[in-house]
Amino acid sequence: MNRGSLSLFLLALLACGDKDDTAPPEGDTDTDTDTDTDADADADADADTDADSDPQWAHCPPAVDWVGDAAWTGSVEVGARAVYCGDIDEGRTLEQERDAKALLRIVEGAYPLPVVEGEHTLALPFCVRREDGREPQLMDGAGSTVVSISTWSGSTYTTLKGSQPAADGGVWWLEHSLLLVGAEDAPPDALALDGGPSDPTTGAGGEFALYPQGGSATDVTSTQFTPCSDPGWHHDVHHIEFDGGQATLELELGLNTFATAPGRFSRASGDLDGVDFVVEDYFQLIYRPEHHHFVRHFALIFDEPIGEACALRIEEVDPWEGDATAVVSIADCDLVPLSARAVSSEDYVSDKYD
Amino acid sequence: MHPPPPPTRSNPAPWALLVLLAAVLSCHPDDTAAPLDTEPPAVGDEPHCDQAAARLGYEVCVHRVPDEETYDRVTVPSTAVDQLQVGKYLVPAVDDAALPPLWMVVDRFQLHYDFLVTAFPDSFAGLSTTGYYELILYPDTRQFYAGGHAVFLDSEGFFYGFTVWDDPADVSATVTMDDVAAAWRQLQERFEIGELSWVPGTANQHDAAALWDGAPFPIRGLEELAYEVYNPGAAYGTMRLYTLAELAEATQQAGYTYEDILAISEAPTDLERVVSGIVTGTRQGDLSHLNVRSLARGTPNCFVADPHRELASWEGLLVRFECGELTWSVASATLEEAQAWWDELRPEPVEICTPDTSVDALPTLLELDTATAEARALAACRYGAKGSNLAALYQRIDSAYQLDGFLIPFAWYDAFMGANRWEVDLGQGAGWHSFTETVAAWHQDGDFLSDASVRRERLEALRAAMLAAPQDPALVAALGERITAVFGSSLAMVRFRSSSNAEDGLVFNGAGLYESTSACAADSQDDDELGPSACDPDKAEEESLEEALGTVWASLWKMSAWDERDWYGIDHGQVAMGILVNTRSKDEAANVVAFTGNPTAAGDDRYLVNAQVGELEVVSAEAGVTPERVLLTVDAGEVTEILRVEPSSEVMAGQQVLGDAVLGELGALLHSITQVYPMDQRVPEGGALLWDTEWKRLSDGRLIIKQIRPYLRLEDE
Repeated sequence: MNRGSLSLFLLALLACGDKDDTAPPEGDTDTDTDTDTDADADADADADTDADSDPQWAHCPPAVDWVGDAAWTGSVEVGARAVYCGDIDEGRTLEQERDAKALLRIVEGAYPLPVVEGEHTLALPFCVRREDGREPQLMDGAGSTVVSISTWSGSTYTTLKGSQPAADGGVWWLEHSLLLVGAEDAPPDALALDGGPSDPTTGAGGEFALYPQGGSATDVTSTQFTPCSDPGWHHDVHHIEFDGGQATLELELGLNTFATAPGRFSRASGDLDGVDFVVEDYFQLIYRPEHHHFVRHFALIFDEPIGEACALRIEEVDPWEGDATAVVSIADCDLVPLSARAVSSEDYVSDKYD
Repeated sequence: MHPPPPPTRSNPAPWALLVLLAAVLSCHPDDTAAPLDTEPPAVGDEPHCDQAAARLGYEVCVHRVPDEETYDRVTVPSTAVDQLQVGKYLVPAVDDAALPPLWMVVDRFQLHYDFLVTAFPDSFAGLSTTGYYELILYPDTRQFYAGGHAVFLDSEGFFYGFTVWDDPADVSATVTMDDVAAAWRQLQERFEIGELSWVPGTANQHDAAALWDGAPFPIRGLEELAYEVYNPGAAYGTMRLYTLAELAEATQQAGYTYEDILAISEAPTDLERVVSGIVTGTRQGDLSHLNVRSLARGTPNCFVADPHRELASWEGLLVRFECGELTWSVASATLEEAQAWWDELRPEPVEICTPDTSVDALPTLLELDTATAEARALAACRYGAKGSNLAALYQRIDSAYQLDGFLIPFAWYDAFMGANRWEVDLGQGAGWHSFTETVAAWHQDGDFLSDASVRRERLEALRAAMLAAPQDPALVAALGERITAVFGSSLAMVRFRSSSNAEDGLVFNGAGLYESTSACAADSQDDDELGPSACDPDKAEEESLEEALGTVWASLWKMSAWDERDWYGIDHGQVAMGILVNTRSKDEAANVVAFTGNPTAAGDDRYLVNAQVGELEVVSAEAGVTPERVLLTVDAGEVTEILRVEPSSEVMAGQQVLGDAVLGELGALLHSITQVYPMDQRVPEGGALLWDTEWKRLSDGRLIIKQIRPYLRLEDE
């Protein structure tokens, strides 16, 4: 493929990228989506939050496991699609990125929340999925939250910040930051958690972090959860040609307004040594950005090994440089490089600037 | 490859830029050039932003924020739950930076990079991303401090805050307090609508800021750990607040008992006496002696940030203090409640074996008979638990993990105690009595048994006398020969390690009660007492065998040891001290304590490993020094998962004390020990047997096990 046709191919790829692909599926529909994080070939997406029918989420606790006071006047309404993805972190290595990967589900339900300042006992029913073979974490009894209330420009901001224990045989903590917003001197509006970004108008929303006992949410190895997709994110596509194959890498990235943008490595396709591959599973797509995603490092794990290659590492991708910078190597299942593959070309398109 | 993407979606079209550029170029130079040859502009009145705006046709930045309207112009709404409005800034880090301090209009430019190359092409055209990194991220090349700023929201309300970027993957690039202060001064000087606080933005910055003292700028968002539990539970007692100095004094004066709860400003390396509960103001290692004994005693132990502030109103009061799983609580208690707790807390009396002083041989660890349960029991009663436990282990594992060593039996301690006499009043006026007679008499003396200050005074006097007493020349000569034979030279520095019959048992753990010390045979064989040690020129003083024998034997009568034994109802008249002599390690890579299960969590069978770099202690660490904590999942003898719970406080972010390969080796070794090591004591119902092991990783990378003892984990609440 020459450069012209390749660019056309990439542009076509961007153009045909149905935005609906990045949205969580509706209800019980088994549409394959970009948020499909199943390791298996099941077309049912992981972001399909019908926990009753998805065995991947069978370990989730029921909504009745919520811990709190039914008399609380605040509330959070958790939708069927409230699944969040472990986010990327520019301070990690690819291996650390893989270790930190997790999917968090807040179990569907309507839960009262405290909105009186002070500390309260609270636990939201939740469960976490890890890479196949790793024990998942799930709620393990009561936690606590501290409510604080502030006003700003005619609105009241009620913040709930706290943590609750999780377990996989050991002790973990799920930290939450919930922001409820309402008119000044009025009770806060009910908070809605549906797996999407915070309310763009009020900022109301929730953020979560998972870390083992003794750690903290700020540790580089903790997992910060963000939406698996966001309508506001743009679509970047890299195409790398190398000795024995080629790979097209697709990223969904947010805005770098405050710091390095959130985002997700959503799809990889191509061929290696004559074998085609397509990888869409969240746990098999590993990505580590440098500051503002200026330099990008990828690893993808094949569904089945291709020859001796269990994975492909594509690192040092710098779309801002004039020359190809990518470093490609095949790797074993622990991402340990086995041998390098010479890169012949590198291309990049983004719909950010459309 | 495509060229770098254009700045942002909201930038004007290229044709518009060309029109604007033409317009700017047609202007009189004086309209746009910076007034370099004139007086420098007042702070905030620099022309750069206006000049860029004139070139581009829209506002790109401001040099000061005089009002909220300006702040609104340079920020955009945030989607983060702890931020309302967000933006970006840039301030010089060097005197000759190309731009003065400024706030970007982030609705136009999300990236500093785009901003620089577009708004200030004269200075930054052609800037590469690598060049940009060098410009803002790294201390050696930084020309600007850059970061985000926002209206943040935390539990105390809204505040204006800013971050300073560095490379979060490179700890050496982490901003310093001076860096942040320099950025803050320049921003605050121009930020007229409120106080600016710095918000650490990375794990490395959190770690660094936690150690800063006297920062000249406000810091927010530094999430300090407020609470951590090591042994959960409720305790009853009188709340005593001590600094470390006050604790030392109180210890000296026997100022606290098992009826007290101690809130100590910093975690002590150890605590001499039994107490009802412990609260420390700095964190502990969960396998520290302090905590292992708390676990064994069933006394609550936790970290509470600033405990003296939190507990000031409870000082001197009888309270119920609970170290909960999530947080702590304190409430008034009645004497009846407290008495019931104290009664329940006290363990059933522990029986120890009667010392067998019939043998005086010095067997190596591989020579001691440990073949049968009977032989092992006899060995423990002749040579002490530590030495006989290690001998039993060494005879069952690969020699690659062993240290050379031999044992000194109780017989020599018994002879020393009987042969040496001192002048002491045993109730009938001052007279000359042997140490054996002294100990026996004191344990019939009500004052000694009931008055801690009397007991302390007498025990210290006894220990001083034991240290000063002469050693049997025949023993010293025999030890010199044995050291030369076992370790290859009289110049080999060895460790004399306590090995009593009142330690390392299933119920009575005795962790850290007695003393170990280094010894050099050559120092005893020369004709002087002048240092340095012949075995180690780094030791300024000689390390004689005589002194080492006295030190270890006398440690049997430390106040803390006596109190701990007494708490467990051990008959002090039966205690005796043997010595394990083995290789002294120097310049080790790491010290490691590992349990074949998690002693802090019933039912958790993962191996808990605490490791610390170099010669730093795990079991008796200094305040604030916490080990690397790892949980190993072991299946069929192999480590299948490594959970790194917490890094060591003594390594840089991202570094490990023990790598995965070493942990894999250690986990497999621990599992093999559970398979081959004999357990001769009955494990009580409701308890789980774990093995408490101490290791060193030597400078050559080898793992060496130096101690093993059983640990009883209670499985029932």
